[in-house]
Amino acid sequence: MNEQRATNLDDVWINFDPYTPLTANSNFYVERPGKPLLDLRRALLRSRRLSRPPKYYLSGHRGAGKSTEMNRLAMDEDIRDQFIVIHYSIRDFADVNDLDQVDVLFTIGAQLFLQYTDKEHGYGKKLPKELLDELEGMRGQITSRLRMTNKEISAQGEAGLRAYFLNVLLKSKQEEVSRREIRQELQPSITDWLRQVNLIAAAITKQEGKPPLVMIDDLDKPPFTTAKTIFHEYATLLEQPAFPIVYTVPIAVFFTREFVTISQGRQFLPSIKLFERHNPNQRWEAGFHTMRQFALKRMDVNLIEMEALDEAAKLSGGVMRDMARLIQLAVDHALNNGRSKIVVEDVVRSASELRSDFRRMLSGEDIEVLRHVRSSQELTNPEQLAPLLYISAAIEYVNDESWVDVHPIVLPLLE
Amino acid sequence: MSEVTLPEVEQTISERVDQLANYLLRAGKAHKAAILFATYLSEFTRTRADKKLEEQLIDHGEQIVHIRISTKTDSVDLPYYLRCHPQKGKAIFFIYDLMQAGETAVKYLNYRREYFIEDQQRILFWVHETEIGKLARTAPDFWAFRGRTITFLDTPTTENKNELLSDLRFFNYHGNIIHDKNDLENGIRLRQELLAELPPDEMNNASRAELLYTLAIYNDMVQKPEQGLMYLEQAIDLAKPAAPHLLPYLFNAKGNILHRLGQNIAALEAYDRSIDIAPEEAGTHSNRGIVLNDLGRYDDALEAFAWALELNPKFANALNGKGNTYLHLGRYEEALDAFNKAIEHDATSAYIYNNQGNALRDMDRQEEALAAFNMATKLDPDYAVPWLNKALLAMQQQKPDEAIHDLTVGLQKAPQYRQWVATRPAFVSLRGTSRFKALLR
Repeated sequence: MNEQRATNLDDVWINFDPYTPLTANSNFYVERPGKPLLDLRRALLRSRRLSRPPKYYLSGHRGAGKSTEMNRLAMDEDIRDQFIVIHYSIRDFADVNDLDQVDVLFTIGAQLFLQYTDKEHGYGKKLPKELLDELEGMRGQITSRLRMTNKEISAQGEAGLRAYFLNVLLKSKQEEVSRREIRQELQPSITDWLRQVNLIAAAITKQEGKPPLVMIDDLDKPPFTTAKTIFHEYATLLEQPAFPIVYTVPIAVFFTREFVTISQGRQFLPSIKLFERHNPNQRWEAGFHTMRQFALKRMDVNLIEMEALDEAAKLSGGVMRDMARLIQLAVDHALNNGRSKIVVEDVVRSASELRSDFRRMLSGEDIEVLRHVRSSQELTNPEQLAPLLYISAAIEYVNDESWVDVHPIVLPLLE
Repeated sequence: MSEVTLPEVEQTISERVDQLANYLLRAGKAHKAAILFATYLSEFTRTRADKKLEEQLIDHGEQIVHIRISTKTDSVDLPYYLRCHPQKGKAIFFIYDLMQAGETAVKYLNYRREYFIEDQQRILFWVHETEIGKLARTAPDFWAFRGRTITFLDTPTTENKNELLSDLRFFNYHGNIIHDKNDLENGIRLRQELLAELPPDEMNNASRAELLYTLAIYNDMVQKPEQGLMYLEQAIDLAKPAAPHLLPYLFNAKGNILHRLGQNIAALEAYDRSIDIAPEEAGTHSNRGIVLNDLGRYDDALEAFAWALELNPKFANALNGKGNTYLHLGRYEEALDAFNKAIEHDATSAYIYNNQGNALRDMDRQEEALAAFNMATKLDPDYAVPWLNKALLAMQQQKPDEAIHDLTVGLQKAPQYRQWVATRPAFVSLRGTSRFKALLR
């Protein structure tokens, strides 16, 4: 990605692409006030002293920047100094449309093996022969069940195991029948598999003098019911691996009562606070500063009126992707009106377009819930609020305390 | 928090189409994905906006691909379907019927939304206004990836609808030259939707007849000739008082469908009705000739083709028909002459080259025949018949392996010819072979 600060509106449009998370060293990255992931980073760095390797469950609003923050954390020097980082998106190795706990645990073991031994994109290290022999047993059962006969898989040793893991991940992701067969094979012996995963981790720890840290992105994407099954019914299984893991989870997971097991490891990436709680006219300048920085790292200051920039920040509710979308739409409005600079009207028109989207989504009942949220700013009925957080009509903020508010774009719909 | 408010601005359909076009063009220039939504209430408004947008994008050198999502096809997994599409990342995709395809289609969008971004796809989803809220709630991850949602909620009056119809009735209609089934299905749906929205009023009868006419032809082309015939009958009833100028075309189309259904006598009657009203239509005379040829009335057929060619001496279909009749009569030189002339006027028809090959083979000019069959297969790679003819030629040339190969290709394209192959005397010597048996299984 060419990350030059835009000097014309056409380039602004490109730089405010709301789709792609930033890479770890992106020029466009903006440090958030309070560095919310500092807690997680600190906890991870301290975790080596704990007797039981911790598991963390990271949630946040859509577009809040979870993937960007995960990318940065995975490349953090101190973290890499302390851990062999195994970072991946579950989307790349499983079908999130049809996911269960076995798939998640299988990808963890497979990715440990693949990323640690991969010469091109991973660490390019060898694993001891005794471990490879140990892993052969499980391979035999699955290859014969899936009738996998290709030459590479039949090869002995590390090359054969690499081919095996890659093929099984591919089959599991793309073929429903294979996925079921793999689950049927692994499910009854899942503790055996976990033992093997732990053996891989132990071998890595022994060789490197530091344990692996697994970071799994996009586990917040499966349907809520699937996430509930994985993170509620099988939470203890997810806690089993003997090394630290960061799982991403849907934000709504923490608004239901069942998730006691994982709530201890909760990590939250909040939206950026822009106004003080209970005082909607009292701006929180640090938040506005962050949102301005977010924009001005991507565009020349002469391309937007300051008032328009603040209006966009205010209307974004502190959600990065919404800020990007508002500016991108404002560029369209400005260009359509023959302007070379974004003005307040462009931002307001953009917000109005986004508001129409919410108008279509929200029922009368939702509006009532949101009115209550607006007046109380409290999570009094989390289960009722969960779907509204899910579609970002309500936003959770955290400073000294957690509180919720209505997305600023939605506010006029409450009147 | 004080709210900045602006007066509502009424935008014309053209202005809103411009917004979509600008976004799609800008995304193309920047090599970025674009996921846009256009919502509508009336099919008339949607079609009008769709047409304007398509024209505008084509003027900018863009290619448009229309896709109706259906659970019966691979399109139900749209992200993957578009990833495998030959126009991936190049064309702009207009998508319809997303919500009709149900939860599965929506789920795929939610979970594979990254495909669109990675492949730099530019996609416009046409979604009914009443369905967009449901989409947003059932596929929030996908919804979060949208670029813009532009609304076309204008509801046209009856007068507007008729006005619009004069512009739309032949939109997406390409006569009988469409081959793509998806395009045909799109055309059928569009016409059904427009008809459903058109109030049953006498002043709409001419428009209704025109829509029914093209709807009938599309149905015939998707192998639903009975359905097509039904629409034609309705169109004829409406056209008699409201649009008599349409009647010759309607009767001609009726003749074509009846011919396809094997009702040749009824087909002739329909052509005669058409010719009574419009004797100057060369196409109808030519079609009549084809039916007469099938009835074995070769002299009458030649007379019909002669009429057609008098009206239009460059009419390739009539020359082709005339050539076929000569073939049946064993007058190969005259047949070949007719096919050669047909090719002079239309060098793109695989059917004519195939017939030319038949004439040459019957004249024992084998190499030329092979060249003609090869040209036919090149012009229409889905056309099975020249492959079967190549097989016959290969048998004549004592090349059984080539014959088996050509039969394999031909039967893959059109398995319904198995029986024909099984009973053809030319292939008798192959019958005992395992490869031939396998072909017929």
